[in-house]
Amino acid sequence: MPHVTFIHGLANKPEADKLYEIWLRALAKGDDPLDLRSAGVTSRLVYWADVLYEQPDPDVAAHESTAERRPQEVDAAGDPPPPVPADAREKAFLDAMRARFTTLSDAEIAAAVAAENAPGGQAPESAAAGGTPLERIPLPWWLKKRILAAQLRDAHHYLFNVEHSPRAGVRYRVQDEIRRRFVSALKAVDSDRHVVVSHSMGTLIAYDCLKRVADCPSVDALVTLGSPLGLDEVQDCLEPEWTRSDGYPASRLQGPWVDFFDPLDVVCGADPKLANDFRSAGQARVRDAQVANAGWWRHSLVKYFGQPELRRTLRELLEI
Amino acid sequence: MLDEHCTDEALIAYTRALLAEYPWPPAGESSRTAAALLDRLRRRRQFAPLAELADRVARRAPQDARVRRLQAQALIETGQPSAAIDVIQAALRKVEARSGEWAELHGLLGRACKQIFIDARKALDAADLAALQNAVRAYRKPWEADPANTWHAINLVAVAACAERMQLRRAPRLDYRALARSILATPPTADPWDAATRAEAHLALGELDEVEEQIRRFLAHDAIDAFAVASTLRQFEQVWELGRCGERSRVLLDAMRARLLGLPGGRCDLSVRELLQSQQAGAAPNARLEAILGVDGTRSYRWWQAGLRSASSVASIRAGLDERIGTGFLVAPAEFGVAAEGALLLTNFHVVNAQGSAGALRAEDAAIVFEAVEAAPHYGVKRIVWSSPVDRHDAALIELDGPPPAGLEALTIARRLPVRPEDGPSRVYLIGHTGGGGLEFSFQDNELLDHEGPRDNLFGAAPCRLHYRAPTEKGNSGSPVFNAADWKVIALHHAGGILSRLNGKPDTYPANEGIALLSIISAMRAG
Repeated sequence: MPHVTFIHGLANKPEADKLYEIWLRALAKGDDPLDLRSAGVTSRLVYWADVLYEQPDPDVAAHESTAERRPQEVDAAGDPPPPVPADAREKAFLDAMRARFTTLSDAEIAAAVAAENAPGGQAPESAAAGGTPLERIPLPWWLKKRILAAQLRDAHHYLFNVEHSPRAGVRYRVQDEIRRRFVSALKAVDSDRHVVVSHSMGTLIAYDCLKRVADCPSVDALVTLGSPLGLDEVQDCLEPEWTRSDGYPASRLQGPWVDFFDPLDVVCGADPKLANDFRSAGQARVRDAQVANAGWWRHSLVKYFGQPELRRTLRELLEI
Repeated sequence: MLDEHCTDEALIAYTRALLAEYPWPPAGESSRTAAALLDRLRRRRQFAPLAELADRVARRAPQDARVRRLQAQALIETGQPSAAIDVIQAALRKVEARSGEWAELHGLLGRACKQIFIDARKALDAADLAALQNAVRAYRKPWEADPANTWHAINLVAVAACAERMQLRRAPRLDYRALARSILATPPTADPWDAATRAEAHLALGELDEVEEQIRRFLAHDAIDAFAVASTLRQFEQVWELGRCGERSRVLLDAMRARLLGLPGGRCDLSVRELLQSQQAGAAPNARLEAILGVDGTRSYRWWQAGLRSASSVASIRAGLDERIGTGFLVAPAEFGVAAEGALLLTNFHVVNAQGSAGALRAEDAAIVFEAVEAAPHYGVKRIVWSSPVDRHDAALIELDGPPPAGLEALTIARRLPVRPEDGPSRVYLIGHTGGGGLEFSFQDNELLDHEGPRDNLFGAAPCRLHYRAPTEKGNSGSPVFNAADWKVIALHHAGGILSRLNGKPDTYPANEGIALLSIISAMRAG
C-alpha cells in the first residue's frame, strides 16, 4: 500500500490531528482532487510544532484559509521571541538570514508597525519599496514582523540544535527531538511505495535526516515545497555531509526528488532551484518545478497543494 | 461520553450499549447520558435509534417536553407523523404556554400536519385539508406570540404559498408575501438557518437572485449538518416544488443534494424524472454555476453530477415486468477479460443465477431495465458469463441480449480500495434502487468500517469483503459501491445485518457487506 509521510514547516500550528486533516483536505479540494484515503494511500504527518511552541494554535480555520489577513494565514503564528546567538557562527547565520528577508533595522520595522497603527495609518512608502522580497510584498509590517520572527527562530533552533523549553517541565534539544520523530515515523512505515512530502522548514528537516542521520530508513521519493534549502546560509549548516557536487541523499532516497517552488515565495524565492546545489556525483538529479501560487503570500502549503502539477507528480510517485 | 467528532458507527454502538443496559438506575449516570445523547442523534439524522432511545428516556421522565419533542421528531422522520402528533399534543398539555418549548412543540406539530398534507397532495381528501389548516394553526400560534419566531413564520409563508399554488378553496387567509417581507426586515444572524429562512422568504416574493445568494450562504456555512440540509432540501422540494420551476431552480436543488451527500449521514432519493432533470441541468457552464454556487459549491455540484452520470449505468433487475428484485451495473468486458457482443452487467448471484437457487431469479425470468434512460428497452439475459455462489463472491456476470443503450458507459473500476479505518476514515457511496413502489435512485453516504484488502494490492481468488454502515434496503442487492473521490466502483454490495467483524476482530456489529471488485476480477481470471 502506498504511503506518504508529511512534515510541516515553520511557525506554530494547530493540534497535530487537525493540521493533518487540513493537509488531506487541501489535497482533496479543487477540480482535480487527490483524496489519498479514498485512493488507498495511507499517510501520516510528522508534527513538531510542540517542540518549539507552548501550545497548539487554537484558530484552526485560519491555517486553512488563504485570506492573508492573520498570522496563521501567512505562516507566522506563534510570536516566538528573537533567538539569541550562542557564538559568532550563530550570529553570522542569523544576520545573513535576516538580510535575506529585510534590509530594515529592528527600529525601522518598529516604526513601520507604529505608522500602521496610527489613525488611518499605513506603512511608510520607503518600508515597502525595493529591497528584499519580504519588503516588496504588500502585507502590513505587523504581519511581516511575525513572519521574520518565526523564520529566524525556528530555523536557528533546529540547525544549531538549541536546548529549548517550550513549556514548563519540558526541555528538548530541538534538532535531536525533531530528527527522532521524523526517523521513527519513517521506520514505522511498511509500504512498497513510500513518498515524503515536506513543506518549508520541513524540507530542511527531511533532507537533514535523509542525508545526515545514520539510522534513517530509505524512502522512494522526496517532494519539497517552498524549500529554503537553496540558501547558502542553510547549506553551510549542513556541511560536511552536504556538498554542492554530492548533496543528493542518494543512499536513502531510492527515487526522484521533485522540488516545487514559486519564485515569489519569500522563503525559497531568493534561491529557489535546488538541482544545481544538490547534485549526485556531480550530476543534477533534482527536478525543479516552477509554479505560480495565487495572492501575495506564495509560501502557503494550501496553495502549493492546489497546484495540478503537484498532484500529477504525487500520483506518479505513488503509482496510483 | 463520546467525543463530539466520533463516527456515526461509534455513536450508534454507544446508543445500543446504553439501550442494552436498560433499566437504568433512577436518576443515575445512564439516564443523564441518554438524555444528552438525543440531540446528537438528531443532528446526525440517526432517527431510528433516536426514536428508541427517546422512548426509554421518556418512560423515566414523562414530563420532559424536550424528550417528547425529540421523540416526535424521530417519529416524523421515520414516516409516522400521526403518531408524532399524539406525542406532541400530550407534551403540549404539560408545558407552560408561550415558553420556548411550547413554541418548539407547536412548530413540530405544524411540521407533522404539513407532512400529512404534502404526502397526500396528489389525492387530497377532507382529512388532508384539515391537516393543512392544522399546520397553519400550529405555526401561527408561536409566531403571533412572538414575531421573532421566524422558523414558524417562514413555514406559515411556505404552507400558505403552497395552498395558493394549488388553488385550494380552503387556503389559509394570510398575506404571506407581507409576512415574507417582515421576515426579511429582521436583522440577519450568523445562524445557518437564518440563510435558509431568508432564501424561502425571497422565494415567496419571486426574487430568485436573492434566493441563490442565500442558498450559497447557507451551503457554505461551517456549522451546517445533514439534518439542516436535508430539512431545507425537503422544504424546497416538497413544499415549494422548486423542481418544477425551471433549470435555474433545479441547479439549486442539486447543489443542496451535493452538499447533503458530502456530509456524514447524507442520503438522497431521486425519482427517475428528477434524475433526468438534474442530468440536463448539469450541462450549465461553469461560469454560470460559479455565479450561483461559488467556486466550492460548483466543485461539489460537479462531483454530484458525476454521481448522477454513474446512476445511468445502474439497472434494476425485475421478475418479469413487475417486482424489482435487485440492482446491477454495467461493466467493461475488457476489465473481466471477456469477449461479449452484448452489454455486461454485474449483479449478485442471489439476484440472478442459472438455476434460480438461493432465492434468485432464473436467468430466463429476469428483465433488466436502465431506469434512467428514457425509452430504454427491457433486456433479457443472453448468458451468464461467470458466477460465484453466495458464500463466495455472490456475483453473477451477465451478458445482456443487446448492446447497451446509447450514451451509457461501463462504470470505472478503482485500482485500489480506500484505506482501512485504522489509517483514517473513508466514506463510500451506494447507488441503488431501494425497495417500495416508486422508481427511485437512492444515493447513500456510508462510513467504511473495514475491509480485507491486501496491503500489497495483489488480490487473490478468495473473496475480499468490505463492511460499511448504511441503512440499505431491500432492492440494493447488486448495487455498485463507489469510492468517495471520483465515483469509481470498489465493490459489489450483497448483504447487510448483524455481521461478524472482519480481519479476526471479535464481536459483531450492524453493517453492510460488499465484495471487492478487484477480488471478483481476480477470481474470474483465475478460472
